[in-house]
Amino acid sequence: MAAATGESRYRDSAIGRFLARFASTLKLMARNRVGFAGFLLVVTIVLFSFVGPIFVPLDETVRVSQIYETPSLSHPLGTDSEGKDVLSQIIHGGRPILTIGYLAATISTIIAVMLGSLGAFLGGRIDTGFTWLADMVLTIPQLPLLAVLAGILSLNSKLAVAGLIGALFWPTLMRATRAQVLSLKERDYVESARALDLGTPHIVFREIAPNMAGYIAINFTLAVTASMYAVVGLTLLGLVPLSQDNWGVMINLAWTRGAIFSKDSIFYIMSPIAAIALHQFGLVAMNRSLSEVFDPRLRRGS
Amino acid sequence: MSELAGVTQGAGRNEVLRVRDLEIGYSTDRGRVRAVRGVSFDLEEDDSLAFIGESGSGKTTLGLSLVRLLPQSASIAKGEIVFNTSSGGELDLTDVDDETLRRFRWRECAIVFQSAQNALNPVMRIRGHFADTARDHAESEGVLKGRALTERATECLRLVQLDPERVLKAYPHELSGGMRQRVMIALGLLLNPRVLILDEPTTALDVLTQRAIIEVLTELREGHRFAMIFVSHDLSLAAELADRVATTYAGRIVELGDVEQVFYHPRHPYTVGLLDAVPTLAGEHQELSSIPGSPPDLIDLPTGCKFHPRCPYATDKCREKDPPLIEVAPGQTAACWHWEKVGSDWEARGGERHEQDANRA
Amino acid sequence: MARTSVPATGSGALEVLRKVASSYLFRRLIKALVTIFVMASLTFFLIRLMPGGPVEAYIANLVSQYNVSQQAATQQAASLFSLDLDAPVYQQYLEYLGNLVRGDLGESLVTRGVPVSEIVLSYLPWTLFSVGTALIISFSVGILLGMIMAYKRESKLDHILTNLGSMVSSIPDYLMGILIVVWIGVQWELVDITAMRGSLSPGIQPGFNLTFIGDALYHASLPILAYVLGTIGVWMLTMRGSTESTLGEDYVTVAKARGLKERRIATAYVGRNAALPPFTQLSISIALVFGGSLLIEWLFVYEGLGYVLYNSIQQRDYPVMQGVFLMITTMVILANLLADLLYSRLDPRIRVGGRD
Repeated sequence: MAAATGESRYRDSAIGRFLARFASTLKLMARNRVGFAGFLLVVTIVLFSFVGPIFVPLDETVRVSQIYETPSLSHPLGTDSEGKDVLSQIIHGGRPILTIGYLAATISTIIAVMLGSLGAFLGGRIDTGFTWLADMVLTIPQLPLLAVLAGILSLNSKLAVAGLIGALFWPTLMRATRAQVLSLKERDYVESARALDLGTPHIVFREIAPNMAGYIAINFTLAVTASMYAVVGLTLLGLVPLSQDNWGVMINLAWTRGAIFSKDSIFYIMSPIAAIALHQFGLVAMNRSLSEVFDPRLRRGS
Repeated sequence: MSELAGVTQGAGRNEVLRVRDLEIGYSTDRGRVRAVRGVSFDLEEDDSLAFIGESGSGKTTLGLSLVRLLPQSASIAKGEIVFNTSSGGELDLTDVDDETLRRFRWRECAIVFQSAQNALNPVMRIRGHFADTARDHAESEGVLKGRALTERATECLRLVQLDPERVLKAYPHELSGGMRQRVMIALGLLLNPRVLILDEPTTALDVLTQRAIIEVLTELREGHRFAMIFVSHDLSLAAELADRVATTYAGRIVELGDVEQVFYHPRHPYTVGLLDAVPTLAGEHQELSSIPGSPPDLIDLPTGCKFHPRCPYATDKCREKDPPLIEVAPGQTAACWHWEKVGSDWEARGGERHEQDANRA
Repeated sequence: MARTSVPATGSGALEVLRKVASSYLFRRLIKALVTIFVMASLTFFLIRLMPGGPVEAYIANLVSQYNVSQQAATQQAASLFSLDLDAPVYQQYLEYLGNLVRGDLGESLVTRGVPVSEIVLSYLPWTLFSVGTALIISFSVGILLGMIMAYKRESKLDHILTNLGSMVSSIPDYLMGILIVVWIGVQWELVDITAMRGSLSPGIQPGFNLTFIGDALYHASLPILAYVLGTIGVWMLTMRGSTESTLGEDYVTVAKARGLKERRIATAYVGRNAALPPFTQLSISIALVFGGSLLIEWLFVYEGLGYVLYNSIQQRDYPVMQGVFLMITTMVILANLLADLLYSRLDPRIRVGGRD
């Protein structure tokens, strides 16, 4: 508890503990096959979208004679309305969407965890105030609000979009965090830290936070599913003018160009949908297995 | 069949329940837990029998088995539980179909569990509980509803000293723990069962409420013709409410007899240990003794007499052979090879005992 | 909950007032009003005050594109947006709020002269119908399935439904809608998609007759299907967990001991109690489904509020945008209040007149 070397040892130990927990969590998760499969799925899709474009160039060639072809060796997912290769579009189409999605989820989680833990810990008026705020934000229909905002302001920065989404999706996460902190608050080690008068930041970050790691992870995966819902919805409506083609825009184009109503274009329309759905599903599966890990009551019989 | 000597007291008078060689086990990861290892007893029409023992002695399992409410992992390995129903028939509860069992439950034999904290449906008023019980037993009772139901329910609630008007329309969460416990007893009486089983009826209640419940039960006993089975670790409960007492250990009855007989003249070391452990409220400060050691592992039981590791009288014979219930006095049995010595040691401490008994009475 | 004893006041009315004020219902109402107020203010500021915002843009547009004088343009904008643009901002704000309370939401920019309130009210019933029906179906079928899954725990049916449930719940409702169109409509040709567009077939008159209701249901069926598939997964899984834990409750064991019939136990003891936790999640679902109407109505060309909202955004018809958005928000809030009230009826431990 010496003040001199306190700082760096404090940080190391907190991070060290966190990493150790992370590793053991992965091991525990591996026990649940579906969850682990989900985790791998998500990682694959993310790598696909961020690393893929380095290796696979975006096919820009218009081939009028090869519209909506069925999959072949040269075009594993067929071609689109202009004869361009679908697979390359899928590989390139993930990055903008996933970036906004994960960014929004991070913002959301940070807000939720901060408000949730501070509120639960400090109690009283502050807590009531935060809860009121959460309740209010919860009753606002998110997608319409985002759409309206997109209409009034013109959202062309990824950060702006992510920020707006993040600012709307935190209430559920905040409630869960708050509930968790409230229960942790009563635990012995917190009581003793309090008795030793170690100060709020110390207690919150050093005693409570590491035990929250699991819940934060669960909340984060949920936040990603929610923000992906919003991002894809917005791009689908064509309300977010992103510079690149992305999965949402692909579906939008399929719709506006009538591809949905033709039978041949099935691969073009299904590919981005499959990519989005698989990513969501992976997250949900991961989330379930994380929940089992961190809430032992949910574990199936030992 | 010295095992059965003393078990049936005035046998055939009006026997309600007959249990023979009952063996029940649970399957767990570690192996089979032998919770009940050969229990036999009889129960007469207005008899009151208490099973006293530590937790893990098998008494709760025994109680549950009488209404076949054991969890999935439990099974009756051997034995019979024969019930004489109010319609005059005999029912072997170890071999009965679901519908018959359902009708039997509560109508013939009701069980009140340890803690009534959560025994009532939170979204249903108390009156609804009575109505449900009556409705689903319409075949045997005739349909009891409307005013007739209210009257009968009122009667039952008055028996347990509750205000019917207030209680009937209340929701469970609006009643205190003690009140809920009494509601359960009242519900138990609704269909006039032949046997009422009470599992730890006063545990988890404060002293005043305990007193109230005991008063209620005493009154009930005096006014009505049903048999009671108590399951508890509390000796004083047996002293107040039971006619006969059976001390249980490691899944077996180790001593059985009239309450007065057993408490004043115990013949099994375990019973002696239990009696020694009870402090007297008004008596002088005395040495409290607890039985050394801890209850045996029911998966891996010791050889011979299961009590021998904790018994001051243990000899080689005890380590090798498990004693049956031996008749030690008219109407009293004990499962101990050295019951005579136990008895003489106990009588020798006679003076001391009398004083304590006087204080306890 | 201990209440400090209140000295007897002369008038009973004050007592009643105090009781109402501290009641759960009252507080919820206040919260609801505050939320609507905040949303209305937010939209006001965004539309009116944002530099480069709609009003200014509109005026600028008239001036540059149509060569209208600044003053005339301002006047036009003022009438269309129902704002007095010369008055100080706070006055405009108060006027705006006053208009709102009276139901004056301004006029549409695109279809001149048509009051926004009229537009909103004419499209509202369709959305309410489709969303309301979908929520009821989704919830009831969802908890029924959830209960079955819990009773048949670990069986094949349970595994299939659980996996199906999570798969379906991870697909956003609008993508579900597209999948419905693509597979049920186009690929498998189970229904005639083009005939199902719109909320009503041409020529059918609204009225309380079977033809009208039948036709309305026909057109609403696909949107409802999309909403239901998008939300049912959550109910199934939540109810499954909830039922599992309820099955372990003491009162269920005691009910068996009381010799009650299985069916009675399953409905009145297990089902009734297990359905409560999922019910509390209804509020999240309500916001989601109303929000999803934006996309799903667009997809199926179903003429409800979401459809109008989308069009107004495309056309930059700000008064309509604002009005429809406020209406959707109000509907969500009202639906939540209704759900809360229902819940307090269902769970006697939470009664409206008492604690929060």
